[in-house]
Amino acid sequence: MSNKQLNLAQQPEHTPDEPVNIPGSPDPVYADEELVRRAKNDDPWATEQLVLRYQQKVYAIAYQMLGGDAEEARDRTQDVFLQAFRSIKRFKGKSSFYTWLYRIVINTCIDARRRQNRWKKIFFPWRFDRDKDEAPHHSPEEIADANPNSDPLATASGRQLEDDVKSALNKLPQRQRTIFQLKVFQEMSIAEIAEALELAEGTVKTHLFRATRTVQKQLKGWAGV
Amino acid sequence: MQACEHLKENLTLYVYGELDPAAGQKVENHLETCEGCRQEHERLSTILTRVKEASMSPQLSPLEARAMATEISRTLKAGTGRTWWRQYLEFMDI
Repeated sequence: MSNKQLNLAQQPEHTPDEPVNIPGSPDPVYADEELVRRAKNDDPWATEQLVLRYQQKVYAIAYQMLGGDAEEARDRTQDVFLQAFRSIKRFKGKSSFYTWLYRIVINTCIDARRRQNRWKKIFFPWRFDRDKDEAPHHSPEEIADANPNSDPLATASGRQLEDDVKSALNKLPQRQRTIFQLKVFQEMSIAEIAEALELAEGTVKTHLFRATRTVQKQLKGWAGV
Repeated sequence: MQACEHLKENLTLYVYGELDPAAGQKVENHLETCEGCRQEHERLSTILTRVKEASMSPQLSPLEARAMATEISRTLKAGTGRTWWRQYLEFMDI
């Protein structure tokens, strides 16, 4: 890869079909396909291995898609796995397990976000309109870092950047935002995103380009060039 | 200095590492001669790096991760579904 390209790491390669013994690890590492086969036969060990293998990634997607709400992201992560394993017998293996799982995460988070917005609109209409357009305002206490040695200007600037990024993402239509988040934060390829969202690659490219342009415009003050 | 409008989409895909080698090479050759696109490339790379840095997802702690895995196994084993009120809310789509 050229050094002019953004350093977005590729997905790790899949584990081979045969279990691999990792030095220091008590259990052999099985490929997803084998674990899925066992999970379909109600093997609790295989189910747990799949949870442990993917829960950080699922949580990261949920956290991003749910606007940084850690508690909601934890609950939805748990829901995603419960939903996945309750319907795993219907998983035909036409796509990889993680693509299928990502599809469940994305749909779960889109539904959850829609519900969040609906509740906010009903109970806090004044906050809904504000949150839609703006990032949350951080008080000076929130901006102050607990570490006395940290640079307060850098900390405040970091918080401001976080707010501005949230605000820029909130301005994107839902599909553009999801695609941008999967590409930039989860480092998925366009082909993987297309498969997970069941869209044509060209459509994903167009949404990604538009989302990138909007984010770039919103954050032009941070380009520093 | 302005970037070449017709190249912006490819420049974006190039930054994301999504161009095939031939198209990527074309962009690289162009960047060597076009100051506007070089600046645009620099701006875009900086913004995306900043966006990524500002939006780091926290990780589940080992304790949280283990507790979640245990809870999922326990719920699946017990065969308990969603609570009636949760099912109701989902059915009503609220």
